[in-house]
Amino acid sequence: MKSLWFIICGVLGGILAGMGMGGGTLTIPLLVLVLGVGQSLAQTVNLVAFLPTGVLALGIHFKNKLVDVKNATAILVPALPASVLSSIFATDLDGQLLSKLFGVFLVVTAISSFFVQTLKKA
Amino acid sequence: MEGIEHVNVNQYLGKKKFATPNKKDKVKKTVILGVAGLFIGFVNGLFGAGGGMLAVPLLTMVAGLNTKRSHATAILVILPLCLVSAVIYLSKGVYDKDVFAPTILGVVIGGLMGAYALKKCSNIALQILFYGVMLFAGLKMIF
Repeated sequence: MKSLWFIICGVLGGILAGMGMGGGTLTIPLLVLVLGVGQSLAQTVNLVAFLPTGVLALGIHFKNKLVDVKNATAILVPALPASVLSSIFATDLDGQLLSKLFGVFLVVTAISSFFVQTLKKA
Repeated sequence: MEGIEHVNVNQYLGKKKFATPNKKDKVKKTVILGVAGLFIGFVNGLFGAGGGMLAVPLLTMVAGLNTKRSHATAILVILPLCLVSAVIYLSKGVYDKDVFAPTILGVVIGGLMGAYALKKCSNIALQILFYGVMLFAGLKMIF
């Protein structure tokens, strides 16, 4: 029965992700707040869940020639080692602290993104 | 249409110089992308998410890509980052099949639904909804 709740969480998070609106944004809070999953586990699930969808989507985007490899590489070259470093010590951090930090990140991103977007439209 | 969008964004954000690149600006652009990349990689590794939310505006504003290309290129950025983080997290034993299997199934289903829904409705109400949810979720996680 609990499996059904996880599926629902995944669907809700996935819908947002499918609309190009950031995958982990809803999935992780739902898992942690509603289903009591640990922060690290929720993050891992989110990461793994993105992989198949990401690969499929990327394939389609490449086919449609929408991918700018040069710019992506400029970002990726420093991003990869940074990710390795933070991933390694992320799991050692206290789950509660990590949840709060993630919450701060979400709030900051929501507010700034909203203003940047509405600025663009105006 | 794409050209107009490009110029508008650049003018509005005062980064018009990127519209007509010369050697110095290209180097500047690469450096900014690189520094931002450090941050994006760090955040995505720390939180297991969020890389996309940072990468898309970065690509739009600094690399000057239009919305579609920004989103598409962002996936090329996030995918390797997520793969690397996933491998590290899993190697540390963070795993629970009772959580993984159903959630991943849900995400895949939801992803298809969302991709389909996007075609039907892309407007400012969606953005308000999304950022509203994000804000709410974020606050809940802090307190």
